Amino acid sequence: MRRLLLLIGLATTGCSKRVPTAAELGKQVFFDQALSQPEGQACADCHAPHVAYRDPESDHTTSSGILDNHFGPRNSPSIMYARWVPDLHQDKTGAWIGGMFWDGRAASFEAQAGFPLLNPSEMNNPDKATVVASVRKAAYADGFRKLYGEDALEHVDAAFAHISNAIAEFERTPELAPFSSKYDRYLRKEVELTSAELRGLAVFEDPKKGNCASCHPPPMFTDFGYANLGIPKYGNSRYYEQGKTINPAGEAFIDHGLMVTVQDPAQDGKFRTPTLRNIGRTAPYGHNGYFENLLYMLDFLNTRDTGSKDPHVGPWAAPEVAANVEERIGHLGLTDQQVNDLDEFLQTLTDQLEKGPPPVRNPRKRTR
Amino acid sequence: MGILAMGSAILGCSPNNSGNVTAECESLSSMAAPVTPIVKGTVFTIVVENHSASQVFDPKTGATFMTKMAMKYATALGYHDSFVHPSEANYLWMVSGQNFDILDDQDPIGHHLASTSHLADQIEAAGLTWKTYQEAMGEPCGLKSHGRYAAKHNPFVFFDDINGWDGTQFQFSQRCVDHVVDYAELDQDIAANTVPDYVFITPDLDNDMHDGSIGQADRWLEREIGKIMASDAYKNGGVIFLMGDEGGGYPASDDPPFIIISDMVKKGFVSKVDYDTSSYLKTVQALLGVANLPCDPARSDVSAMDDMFAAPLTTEVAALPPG
Repeated sequence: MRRLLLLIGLATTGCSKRVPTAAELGKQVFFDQALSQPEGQACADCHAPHVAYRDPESDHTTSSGILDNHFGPRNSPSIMYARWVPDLHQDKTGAWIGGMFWDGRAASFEAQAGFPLLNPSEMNNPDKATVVASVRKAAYADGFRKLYGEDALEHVDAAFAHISNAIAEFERTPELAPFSSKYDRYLRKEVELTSAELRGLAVFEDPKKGNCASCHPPPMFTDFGYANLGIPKYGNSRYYEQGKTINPAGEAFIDHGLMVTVQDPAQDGKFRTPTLRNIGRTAPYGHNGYFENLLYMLDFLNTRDTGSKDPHVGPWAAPEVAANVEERIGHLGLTDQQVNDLDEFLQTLTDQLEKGPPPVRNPRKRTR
Repeated sequence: MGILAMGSAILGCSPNNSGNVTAECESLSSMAAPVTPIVKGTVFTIVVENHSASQVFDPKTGATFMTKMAMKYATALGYHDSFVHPSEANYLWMVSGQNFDILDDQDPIGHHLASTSHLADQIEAAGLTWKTYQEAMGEPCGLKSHGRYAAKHNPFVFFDDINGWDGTQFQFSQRCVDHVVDYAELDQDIAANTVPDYVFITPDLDNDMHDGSIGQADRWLEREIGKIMASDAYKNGGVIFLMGDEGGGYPASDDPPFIIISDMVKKGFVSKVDYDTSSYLKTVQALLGVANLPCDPARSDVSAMDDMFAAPLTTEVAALPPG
């Protein structure tokens, strides 16, 4: 046993002669808090395993970068099952499909991996060279040389491509796509769904009720398409407080989503339909995190056009972008029982998330 | 206590991130007997969200009512959270002195806690009464977030001896139904003069500044605190803690507001002592006359917020350096 532990130790410190896989390297990069400027923020800070690889600090609806009070405009999505998101393209009908991030601005899975490293509102590296320099100093740097060649980290563009590739390969592993939810086990006939969960599944699938499956079809529970659900502006977004270099519009900022990516007004206000897998662990919801909890969002989808029956909610605020609002939702006419059943079913999409390492403590916080 | 027992007690008090803490510290009954409460009325706590003291007290864009209360009563400008985030960790800290290594906002189904080292058990063991009034919760004992109600802002529903967790699922819990109630019930309790000794109030997500504006929260607080201050529970020697749950954790200017409203405090006093959430808990315990919690990691090295009161609450006056 002791020998085994020693071998594991050697492998992880880069002293082994074994060539690591790209996924193994990518995992080390993903959890490396030395890769931000200043040091202190890893990819895993906003995509933590115990909350289905999204931001555990959900109090602010968008995630904070490594720099004080730097927030982006959008809610960090879960990256689980992202490997199945196709590259951005138009289907036969002209509808946009795939692409990474809420707005598809990274055309491919590989391309997305490097974005947060260079975003000033996230990990804040000024350029690729800074990232590569940090990786060269890492304990796992030799692993890159073993896998990608002795000069793997010598040339900045090539090195950054290796780093992005490694991250993407980690994100492709079963660790981020375990298919271990109760729903998956139900399909494998290992468990039964409760009567409430079965009723919820029926609401989910029924075109005359929830009709959720039309945009969130199994097995990935997304069609990878784009829609404007008519979600209102989130008034307390910290993005509005950003300086003019980051957000010139201040509180008047409007998130136009896919329109900016494809430069087409017909796509104004549209965002990519997320997977519903692990939806029970990925609050808040919506591109701007407007919905604090799942029942709140389900209420919106059900009553957007008619107003909530909850007296603390009442009429819904106007959409952030009034154009192109999806008409198939907002007046579903579901009863409270059906909404609760739907919630019960959606909870069955939660994977058996590993406890794994302790949650990543945010080193940006002061210590006593 | 033998060394072995002490060892297990220490281990049991260690933070853990399993979400199912089985801490075996000293039982509450083995703690020192409670003394008579210092406070004659009710100890109220009202928690607001996500805005700093500098924002709330900004003379141009801040909260008029909160600022007025701060100027009239006592304010802790040296107050900060206990450097844990997000909300849920801080709310748990307010009633237990720790966050059980919880660093996210999941509902109780994700973080039910076996620990009995919390304020509700302590209060009941001392023969006192408590309730939490949660706005927008609706049915009592809300274990699931919905609408404008957030379970993460309701610390009591995470403890298994309140929420009814039986190891497999939540069972009906009369204790929870009796003590974790919708905010509308406060009016009834005030009218019936049955307000408990300890009250924990959470406004809904719009009225606590989480999703609503400072102005909206300020208007809500003016109306509701006015109502509370007119009640016998307050007029007969009560104390109101009006506090933010957490700061962003960055510069001190991001620290949350903290005001104590009571005839017991030094009027117009501004404390700059370095206080945190454990200090708040110690102050509540001192007012209620109960001992430190058995599993509170800071049970002996944190003092109550004595400098804010006209008469010190504890015999061990805080000897903390200025913040």
